[in-house]
Amino acid sequence: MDLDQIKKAASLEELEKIRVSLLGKNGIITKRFKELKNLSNEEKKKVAKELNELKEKALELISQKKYELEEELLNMKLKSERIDVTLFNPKPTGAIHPISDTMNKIIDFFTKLNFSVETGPLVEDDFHNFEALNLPKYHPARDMQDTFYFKDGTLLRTHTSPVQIRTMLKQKPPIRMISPGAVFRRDYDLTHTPMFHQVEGLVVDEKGKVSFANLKFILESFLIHMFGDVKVRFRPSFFPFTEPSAEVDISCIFCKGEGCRVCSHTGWLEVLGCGVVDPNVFKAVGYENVSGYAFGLGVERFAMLLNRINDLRSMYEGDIRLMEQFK
Amino acid sequence: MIVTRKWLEEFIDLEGIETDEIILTLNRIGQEVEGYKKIEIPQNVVIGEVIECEKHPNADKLNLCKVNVGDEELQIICGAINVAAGQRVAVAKIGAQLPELKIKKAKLRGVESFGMICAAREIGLPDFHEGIMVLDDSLGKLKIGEYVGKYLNDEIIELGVTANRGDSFSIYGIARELSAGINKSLKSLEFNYEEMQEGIGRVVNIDKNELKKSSHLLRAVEGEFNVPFKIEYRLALIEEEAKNKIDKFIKYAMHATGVLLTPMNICNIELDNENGADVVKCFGKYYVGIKNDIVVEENGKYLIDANFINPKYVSEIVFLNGLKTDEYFFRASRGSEPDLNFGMNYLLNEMKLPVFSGDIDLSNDLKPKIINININEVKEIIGFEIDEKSIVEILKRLDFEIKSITDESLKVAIPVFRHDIENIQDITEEILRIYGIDNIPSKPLVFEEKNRINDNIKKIEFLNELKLKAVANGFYEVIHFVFEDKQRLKKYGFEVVDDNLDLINPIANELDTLRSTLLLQLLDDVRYNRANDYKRVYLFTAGSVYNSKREEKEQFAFVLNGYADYENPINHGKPQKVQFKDAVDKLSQLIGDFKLTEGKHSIAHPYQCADVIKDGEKIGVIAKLHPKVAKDFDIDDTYFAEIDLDKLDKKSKQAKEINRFQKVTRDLSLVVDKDISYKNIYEIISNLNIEELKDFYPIDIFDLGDKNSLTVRFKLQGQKTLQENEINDIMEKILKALEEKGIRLR
Repeated sequence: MDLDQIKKAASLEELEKIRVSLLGKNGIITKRFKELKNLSNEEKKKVAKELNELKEKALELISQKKYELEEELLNMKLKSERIDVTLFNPKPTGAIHPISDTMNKIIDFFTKLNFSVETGPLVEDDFHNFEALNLPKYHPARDMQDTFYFKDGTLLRTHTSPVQIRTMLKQKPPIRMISPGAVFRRDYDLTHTPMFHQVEGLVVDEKGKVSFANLKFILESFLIHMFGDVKVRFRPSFFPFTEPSAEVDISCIFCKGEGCRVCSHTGWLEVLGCGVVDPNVFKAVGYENVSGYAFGLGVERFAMLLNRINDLRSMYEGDIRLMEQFK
Repeated sequence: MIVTRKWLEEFIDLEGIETDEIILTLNRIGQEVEGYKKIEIPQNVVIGEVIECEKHPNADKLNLCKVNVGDEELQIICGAINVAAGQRVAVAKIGAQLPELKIKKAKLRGVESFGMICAAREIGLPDFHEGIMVLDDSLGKLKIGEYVGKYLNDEIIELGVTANRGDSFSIYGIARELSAGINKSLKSLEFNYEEMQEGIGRVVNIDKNELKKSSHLLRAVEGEFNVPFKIEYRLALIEEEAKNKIDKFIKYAMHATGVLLTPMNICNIELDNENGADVVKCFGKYYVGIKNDIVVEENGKYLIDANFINPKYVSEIVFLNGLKTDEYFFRASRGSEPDLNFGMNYLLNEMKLPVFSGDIDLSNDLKPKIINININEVKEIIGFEIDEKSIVEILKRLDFEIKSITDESLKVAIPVFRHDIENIQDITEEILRIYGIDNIPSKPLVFEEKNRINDNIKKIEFLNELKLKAVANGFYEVIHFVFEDKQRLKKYGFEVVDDNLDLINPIANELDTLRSTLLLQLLDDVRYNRANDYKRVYLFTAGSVYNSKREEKEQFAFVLNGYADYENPINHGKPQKVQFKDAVDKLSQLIGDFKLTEGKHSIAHPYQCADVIKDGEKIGVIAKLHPKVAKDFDIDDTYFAEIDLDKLDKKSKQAKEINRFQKVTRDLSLVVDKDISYKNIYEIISNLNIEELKDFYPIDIFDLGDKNSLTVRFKLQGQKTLQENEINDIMEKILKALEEKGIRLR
């Protein structure tokens, strides 16, 4: 009996024909089983055993061949479905604006440290924006902030600090707040836009509780969170609403403090203003026996440093060529 | 405020101290260094003396000079109009590398030249004079042949003096700061000038004396001014321009000492009061420390007024009377140096003119403020204990006088030049800046735990979620100023802020009001990006807008323009353009479910505009841009949506029990008049209130000529499996209701 023909089958149809010729109703093996009845008992036993073995072998070979042929067929089908996957590199679009993204990172840091978020109107009055912040009408420091005024005497807030005043008038200490938002100054050139964004921070508690050393701690932690492994330096400075005041620099993130064009070869980048709240500010909101610190920062400045954006104005031009780099 | 190292050295000995250390110290004590520049004269530029100077034999405009440069005499051809024998000048010898050229032996019109007599500009200095630079002994006795840099090299430090520190607006003021910073006392200066027999009373009469708030010290001088090189040079270094010779001396002495100095011609002086301010009148022209109208003629006799006005008072007068101001006011309002004798003597010493003997002293004595300092309070403000001994030492370095000491407190007299010091926190700042912030250890704050998660943070988080969804849907975020062009808003039918509530001082005409919509700025961006070859422009923005009463609200808006997909092999590089449905789909991806009803909007296509309704309330608009507006913006088909952020639902959703019985689908094809919107059909069917009708929606529409064929799909589901007859009953009911309104089955 030639079972080799099973192995030679070229297709599933041919294999089926062979199966029928062997094991079908009139198949060779089936016939031989039928002839068993003509044999003696002893011979019957022997031949039956041989036949059973033959049948099993044939079935096994057929099943194996069938599997092989099916596999081959599937492979051919799969091969015919081949596509050039490299044609389908994605072209994603869509990105959060670097100002929003930076603002979110800043808010995230402070809210996780249990600061509340407070907000206020963009159209402010003189009391909240200046007077209560120790900036009386004839104070020369008002020159520092060229202001947009409205015909009814109101103005566009020049900083987020009026939200400090609003919050202190509304709440009782202890206060731990930040206030993010848009602010306005009448200035428009390479390094100024008439609108930009700030985040303000204020902490107020009982007298003697909040100190400059606490301010140092939170700002050092914050700047290292934002910029990674940087050195932080505090320089004494002046703001009407804080005393003592300081400006805060980080070691230049571009040249690692070696000195480059971005840091004007100083090795330092100015990023923040801060200080211990001036007693006149507390007086304006009727707080007594308290202590506090405050700080303020420009979000655009942070965004430009973090995202290596050179041109401030480009962030307000709705330019996809800038935005698509943040996908 | 610009200072130079050599000028500082007039007041403080800086020998052995590197400029780097000076810069570090100034930064550390709160005098921010904003710029630094080294002035270095090129090598081989030496002091020469012009011995002879005659016309070049072959050229009218050139001079042939013999110049002594110490070890030799050089023949140099010089084209300057002011060159003359006897001058001492800067000579660039052969081999000198100047900023713009290298000096070589040259032949000019047949005559050889062995060097160059230099102008300031040619050796890298500011351009502050005509012709060549003529030197004198004012920067040190000149030695012929010496390197010019020995006299002229200097270092320029530019400081950002803060508005409270009027005392630091002078070389002397900065020297005083440095003296505290490096703990080294100032030099004591000697002033020399010739006093005449004739007293000041011979030339000056005071007509009236109504001085109340200012102090004056008057002296008179006589003679012709001769401005030394040092003054010309340093005024150039500090970028000061002067009107005439006397102005040069005045500007120089004011920059050096910080004392306000006003020159006048000899006159009868009237001291008066105007607007509550002291006024000094001379020939009818006057000055008050706010603005100086006096014009000085160089006629040989002058009166100098060294003066001081309380800075708070001068600011208040100017504010209350709306007065115009000049640079005098800048110094006066920040607090000028009150030591009038010092300023006057410094000036007279530089002028080197004979001085009329005696002075007219009209001083209102400045009394130092006395402040009590509790040592413990200083510790509390800083958060670190600085011992009393160190505090006393620091305050003395800053010229504060300690009146009395106990273990807990100090009584301190504030120096009269420190107008900014008023309370213990001001003094604490002084202690802190000299002690060094770097020496204060940072300390975490111990605070009361409290739930500080308020509605503001929830709102920010909600907006961020919305933004992230927009980004995931392919939108770029853009941010704009809240300013708009009022004319443009009006032109496109938007609300505008009432004129009597609008901006007084806009920064530009096209930014002259607050915006009432986010859309026009987005359309600007569509145009901009399409011009930059972007074929698919999806942008969104969120921000404040204002109504006519200037009330603020927050809106969210997006625009879609161009292709609905990017160009790729599947769409053969020709993606479909965005359609109304794309805009609706994008909006629902962002804000969830809503309903549309036909709406109107001033910049929308009149027949492709919908109000966006959520929970029965209009929350915004979605539409195709009117083609006329699109044409104005030079863009093609654009879709937009603008939504009120405050009206978006932030409530948590309430779940119902899941219905597990089988759902049945049935379609009805209807013949509908063209002017009937789907909303009518929707309402007819909704009003039937069929409990089993879970959902229905249009799936096909096509034109039958005068009518439309509309196919609606119905999803039915009951509280048990619905039987065929029950389903048929429901569909009959729907059809009957539609037929009553003239809508029949196709």
